[in-house]
Amino acid sequence: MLRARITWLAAALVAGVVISFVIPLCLLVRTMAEDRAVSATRSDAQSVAMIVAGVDDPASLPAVLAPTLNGRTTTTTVALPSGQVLGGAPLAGPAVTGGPAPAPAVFPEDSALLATVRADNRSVATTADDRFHVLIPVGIADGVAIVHSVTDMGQVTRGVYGSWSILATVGLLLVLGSVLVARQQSARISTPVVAMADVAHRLRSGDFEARATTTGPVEVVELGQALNQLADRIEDLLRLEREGAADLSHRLRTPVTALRLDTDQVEDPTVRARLRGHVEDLHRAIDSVVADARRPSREVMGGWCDARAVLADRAHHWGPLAEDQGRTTTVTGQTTTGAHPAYPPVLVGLAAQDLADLLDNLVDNVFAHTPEGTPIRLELQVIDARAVLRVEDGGEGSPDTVAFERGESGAGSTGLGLDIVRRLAADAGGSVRFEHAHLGGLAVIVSLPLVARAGRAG
Amino acid sequence: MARVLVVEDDPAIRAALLRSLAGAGHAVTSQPTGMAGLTEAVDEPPDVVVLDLGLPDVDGLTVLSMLRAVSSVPVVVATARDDEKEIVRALDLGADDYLVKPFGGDQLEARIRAVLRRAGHDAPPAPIIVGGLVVTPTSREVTLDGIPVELSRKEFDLLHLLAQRVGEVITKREILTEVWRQSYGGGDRTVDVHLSWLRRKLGETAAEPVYLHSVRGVGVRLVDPRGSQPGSVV
Repeated sequence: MLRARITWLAAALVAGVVISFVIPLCLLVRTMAEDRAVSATRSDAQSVAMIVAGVDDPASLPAVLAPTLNGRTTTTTVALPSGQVLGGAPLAGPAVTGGPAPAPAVFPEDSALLATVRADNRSVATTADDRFHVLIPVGIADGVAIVHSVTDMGQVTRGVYGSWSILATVGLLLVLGSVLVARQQSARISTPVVAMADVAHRLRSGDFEARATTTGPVEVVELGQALNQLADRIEDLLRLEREGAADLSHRLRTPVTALRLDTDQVEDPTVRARLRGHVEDLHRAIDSVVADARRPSREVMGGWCDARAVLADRAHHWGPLAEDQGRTTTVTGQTTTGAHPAYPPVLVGLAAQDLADLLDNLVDNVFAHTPEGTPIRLELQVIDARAVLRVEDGGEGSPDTVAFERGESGAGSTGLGLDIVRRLAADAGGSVRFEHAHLGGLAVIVSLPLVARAGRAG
Repeated sequence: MARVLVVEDDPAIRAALLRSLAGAGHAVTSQPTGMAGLTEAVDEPPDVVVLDLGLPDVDGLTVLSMLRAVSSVPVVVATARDDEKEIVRALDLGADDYLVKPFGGDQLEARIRAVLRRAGHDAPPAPIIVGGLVVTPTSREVTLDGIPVELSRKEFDLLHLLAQRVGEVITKREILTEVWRQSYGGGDRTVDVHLSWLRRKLGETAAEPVYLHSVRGVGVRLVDPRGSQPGSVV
């Protein structure tokens, strides 16, 4: 795009310049050609008129004028007082040199013009019917002869077209040349910029080895270097974050170990059991903090996955336990593993592991809070550019009490249950809500916006 | 009773371990640094070493490899990092078992007993045969009536644990501790899901158990269906 834009810009600029020069030039060429034709016509008429005036014997005029009247671009005729017309080529038909009868007029307007000149007895220069006429009356022995020169201005203009086409060709070549140069020059900018965009996409998708090659104009080189420094920085930050999480777990777990070991030394079994419970809660909380601290590195990479495939995978995972507990499990929403033309992937902005965690938490909740034999239903639908995941059961849960039953942490459930689900859904720009299930129990609905593949477009 | 050397830099944990292990009847000595621990392990060889990986002077893994160069004393690694890579490295460097902090005294005591048991005989553990089921710990292979059964890592660990104590009911909590190395409650369904998968792979269901019998509210046990434990079906 950048390259095309620069090329178009150069082409438009050069075309503008060329047009603003070529059009006046063309007009100038035409004007000059016309001026030349007009003055040539005048000088032709004047030179013939001088010859006619200088000949004493009118009878010798045809012989004297023959070499002069022939071979001129301008048609010059001489109308003698006798009515005879000398000359008459090349503009119109065969020459009518000499002839007994008065020669017919060469052009339709001629007779009128001749009559005017004869009547006024003075020179006339006029344009009629795109032809330029110069008529000069010359007094000779037997009366007034009229020298008449005509130039076809249309022909002059047509002759100009040749010059115009040369000018236009030169202009076109200039534009084409500028396009070629612009393409070449813009490639120097656009190629490294496109490569840098690719590097940025690779960084985003988690390939922190990606680095831009720094070539091209100074600004582009600087951009490339800045991108590489940014990549280095991201790598450093991620490393520090991981180290920080490891350090955090280390610092927290060591005192908890001492506490846990000392708990065993408590004599009173009731107090000991209670202390153990507290230590276990603390341990669980630390694990969850550490898991949270580690999480962003995965999220930064812009995770995405096929919700359909993940749902199918998790349904498969929980299948045997559901069967052993006599729970009927229904999975709807065209869930199928692997690519299937009829069931395109439903891409959502969560890493596959995160979506699996989300679903596992919801299914685990059903197992934890409904008696064996309670049916489970998993459903995936795509509604208004959102993937709507529905996990429902036939138990006795109610949307109104769910937060107290299943949402609170430290209630002996794995992890923090719905807290994790809510956070993961929020990470992917989605939401969680509760409804009465068609099966009779609770339905948890997780709605996640669809994303474009690999996050490149989205 | 065994002579236990604890190499741990944190004084609180060191003191707690001393009390806990001494309470279990072991003779315990302790060292706060890697070099001191190494020196003692060489000068007065203990029966088992409990080694913390985060030591102030030398990295625990280095201590482990140095110790392995001169001694084959059983080592239980105690680490605060649940990073799988580090645990695998510790095991590769010659650790006999590992514990992720925080852990309880009972758990440590059980692991010490286990490594001491294994240390007694150098021969690799023999395959465990329960009816038509053969569990081979060295190659991590399982066959049922001569046909190989494909198991995941955790499924194998679970079956191996149950097969080591045939007929004994093992609680889910103990399974979590042994297989998942989780010292706290919860995660019941983790065990349940794997147990169900294990059942499928052994060709049975909870309703019609053959080898794996759940004891409601308690745990699970592996039995020989050919009747070596009559009346074991619950």
